Amino acid sequence: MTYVEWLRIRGVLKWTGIVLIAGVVLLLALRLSLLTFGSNDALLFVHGLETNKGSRVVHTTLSDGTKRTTIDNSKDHVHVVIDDLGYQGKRIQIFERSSHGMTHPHKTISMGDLHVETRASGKETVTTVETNRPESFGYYAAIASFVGLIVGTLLGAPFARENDGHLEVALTKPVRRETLGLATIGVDLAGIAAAWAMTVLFLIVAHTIIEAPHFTFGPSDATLIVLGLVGNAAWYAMLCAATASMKRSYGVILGVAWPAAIVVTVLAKLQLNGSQMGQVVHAVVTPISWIDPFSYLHFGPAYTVNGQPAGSMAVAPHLELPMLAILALVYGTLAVLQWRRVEA
Amino acid sequence: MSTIQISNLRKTYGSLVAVDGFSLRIPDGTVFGLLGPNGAGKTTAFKCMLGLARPATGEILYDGQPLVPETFARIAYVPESSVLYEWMTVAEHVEMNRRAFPKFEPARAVVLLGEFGVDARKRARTLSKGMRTAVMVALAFARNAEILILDEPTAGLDPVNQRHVLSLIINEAARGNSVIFSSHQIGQVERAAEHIAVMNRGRLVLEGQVDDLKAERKIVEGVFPGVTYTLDGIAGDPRVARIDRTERIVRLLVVAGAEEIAARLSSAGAAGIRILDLNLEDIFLYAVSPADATADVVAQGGAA
Repeated sequence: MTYVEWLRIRGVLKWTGIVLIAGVVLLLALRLSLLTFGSNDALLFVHGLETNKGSRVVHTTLSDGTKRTTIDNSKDHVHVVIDDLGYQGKRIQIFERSSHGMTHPHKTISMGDLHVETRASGKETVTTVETNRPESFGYYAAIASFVGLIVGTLLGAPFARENDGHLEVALTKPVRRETLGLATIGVDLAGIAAAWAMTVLFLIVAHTIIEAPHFTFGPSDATLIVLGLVGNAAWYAMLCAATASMKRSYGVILGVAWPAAIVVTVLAKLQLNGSQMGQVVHAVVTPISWIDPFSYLHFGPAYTVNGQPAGSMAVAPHLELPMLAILALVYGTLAVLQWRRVEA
Repeated sequence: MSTIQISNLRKTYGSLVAVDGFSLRIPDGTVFGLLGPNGAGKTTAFKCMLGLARPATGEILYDGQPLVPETFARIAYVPESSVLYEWMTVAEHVEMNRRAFPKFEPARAVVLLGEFGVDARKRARTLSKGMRTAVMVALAFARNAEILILDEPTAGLDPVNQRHVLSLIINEAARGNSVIFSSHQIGQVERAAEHIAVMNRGRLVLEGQVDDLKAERKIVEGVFPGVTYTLDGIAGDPRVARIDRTERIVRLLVVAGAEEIAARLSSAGAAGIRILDLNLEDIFLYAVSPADATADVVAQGGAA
C-alpha cells in the first residue's frame, strides 16, 4: 500500500547517510590533522601562547598519569595550566590580570561538552575551560531534530507528489483514501524518526573521534527528545497540508517554508516597540506564529548562559509540547481531508 | 464477472461540460470499445467510472453496487498517459502491484514484460513512450482483474506489440472477464470489440453490437440527372439517419430497410442505385462528423 513511500524514504535516508558519513570522514581528517599540528595541544590559543617568545613552558606528568603543561608569560602576565586527561578531555586554567570595569565577576557558558567559567577575584581573573564535561543528551537530540526537520521538508509533499501524475495508481488501490493517507503519513514519520536516530548515532561516532562522549540524561532531555520529534511531525504535517491539493509547484512551498517560518518566528519574538511599523509587523506576524511549528522549537538545555537556556525561539515555553502536538494533529487531518477530495 | 451500469453521468470542469447525460450498460465477459474523437469525453468517463473524477450527477454501479475501495481488487486500469514513477525501476513497479493487489501474479507480469521486450531492471524514465505503455499494460493484465479499463492501450506501441495487446484483450474476454477500451485505431476496435459505444462532445451518440451495427447500417447511393432534385419525402423517414449530397450524388445512411429506401430513391428519379456495406470506421465517422453539411439537403428533401 505504501511501497512507493518506503522507496522515497529509502532514497532520502540514503542521502542523509551519505552526508553524515561524509561528515564523519571530514571530522576524522580534521582530527588527524590536529594530531600532527606539532604540539600535544590542539587549541590554537594555547599553542600561540606556548610558542610566544616570552613564554616559559614546562611539561610534567602527575602521579595519576595526567600530563600537565604549565605556561608562564610574564610579559603578558598570563599563567596557564593545562591538564591533558587523554580521552577524558582537557582542563585548562588561565590566570591573568583582571581588566578594568569587568561587570560580571562570575560568568559561565556551557555549550555541549565545552564548559567555560570565568571568575574575577581582586586583580586576577581565572578562566577555566573544560573540554569534556558531561553533557546533556538533549544537545544531540536538538541537532537530530534539526536534521529531522530537513528530512521532514524533503518528504513533506507526499500527496502533491501523487497528484503530480500518479493518482491513477494511488487511488485505484483497494484501500480507502483515508487509510492510504494516514498510512503514508505514518510511513513518512517513521522515516523522519529513522533520520533522527541516524543523526544521533552519527553524533556519537563524531564525538568519539574527538574524545570520549560523556552524557547526562534527565527529564529535560526526555522532554527535548519528545519536543523535537513532535516538532518534526508538526512541521512535516504542515507541509503536507499546505501541498496536499497541489498538482505541481509544490517545490516552491517546500523551498520557501524554512525562510518564511523563521522570519515569522523571529519577527514575532522581537520586541518592535520602537516604531509604529514595527508594532504593525509584530501584530501581524504574532498570530501567524501561533500556527508556525518553528515558534515552539528551541534548543533548551543544550546551550546555556549563566545556567539559563539560551537560543529559545519558543513563544510559550509551558505550551510548546501540547501546541506542537495539536498542530501535528490538525495539519495531518487537513492534509488527509484534502487527499480525500483530489481528482485526477 | 461483472456488469457495469452507468446512468445519466454528467461531469463539468468549470463551464466545460466534459460528459453529459452519459448512460451505458456494459455486460460482463465482453470486449467493449469506446470510440470518440479527441475531447469527446472518453477519458473523463473512465475517470468517473473509477472514482478518479467526481461526476456532478449520475450513478455508476458494479454488479448493482456502487464503487467501493474493495472493488479495485477486481479492476485494472491503464490510463492514456504514463503514470509510472519515473525514478522507480520496472521491477519496483511489479513489486508495488504485488503488494497492492491480492490477485496480482508477478510471474505473469515478468512473462508479459518479456514478451513486450521490456527490461525490468530499467528505470521508467529511461523507457520510450511505447515501452511505458507496455509496462502499464503488462501490469494491468497480471492483476487477474475481472474488469480491465484500458484507455488507449496501444498508444505508442509498434504494430507487433499492438497486435499482442489485442490478443491479450481477446484472451481476457475468453476467460470471462470484461475489457473496456478506447482507441483511435478503429481497425483494432473492430477486430477486438463485440460492443461499441461512440461518444461525441460528451454525449453518447451510438451504441450497440458491432455485428448488428454493421448489418443494420447501409449506405444507399444514387445519382440524379441534374443538381436540382427532390427526395420525395425520404428525408422524413425515421430509418434515414443522414443524408449527404455531392453535386448530383446522394448518399443516404439508413439504419433499416435499405432495399425499400433504395426503391424510393429510384422512384424519385435517381439512377445507378447502390447499397453499400459499412465498416466500423464509416459508422464511427457518420456518428461523429458534423451534420451541418447535410442540413440544406434535408430541408430540400423535407420540402419535397
